[in-house]
Amino acid sequence: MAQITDKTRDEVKEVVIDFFAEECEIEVDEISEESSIIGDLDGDSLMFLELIEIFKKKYNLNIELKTIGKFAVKNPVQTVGELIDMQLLIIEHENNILNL
Amino acid sequence: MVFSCGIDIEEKERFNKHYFERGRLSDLIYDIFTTKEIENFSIFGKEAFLKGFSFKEAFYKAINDIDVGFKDVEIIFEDENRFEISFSKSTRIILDRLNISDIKGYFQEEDEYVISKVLLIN
Repeated sequence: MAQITDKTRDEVKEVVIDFFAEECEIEVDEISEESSIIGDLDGDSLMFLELIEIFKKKYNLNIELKTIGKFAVKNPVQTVGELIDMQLLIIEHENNILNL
Repeated sequence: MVFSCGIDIEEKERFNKHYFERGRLSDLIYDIFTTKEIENFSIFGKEAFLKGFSFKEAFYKAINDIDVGFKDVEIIFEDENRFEISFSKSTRIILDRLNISDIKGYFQEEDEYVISKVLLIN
């Protein structure tokens, strides 16, 4: 189980916000943790999958997409901040995330 | 009788950006498609990956069961208009439990989008 530090959270936040800024073609400072992924950023499942892939590579995660899908259905996220928290849980617990 | 339906719309440009960036397949495809699908889609080109992804999204919306993942449904194209659909053992059990006797899939292609519709029939 990975240890989540303030540095990890900052890294994840930076990756998520940079990703949405590029995808949505808006400035980084226009995105906050309160931004609505669907309402403000027009996000969709394709973006979610791509972010998962980015974090799988960055943190060498051993987690199946199906596991993340099950977790996401039970714990839906609406804002960028909630998505960051979900990514941190994925990094911390990997395939054990469903046991939380 | 129609038990449920699922509809998905994918933007061609966005999908290609994610899946074929820098002229190579993204690793994401290995989490989404079966080996057989990847081999099959490679014959039919980029559009087959897009249609395959969109079909899976539409199927997931139709069946609406968290135990069904991307690789639990497989779509194999015979040509641009004909395809075969198969399921994992666990998804077949779910379909049997719901008394689903037939699955119909439709694709509609526009300049910028691919639209998939899946009907579960019982």
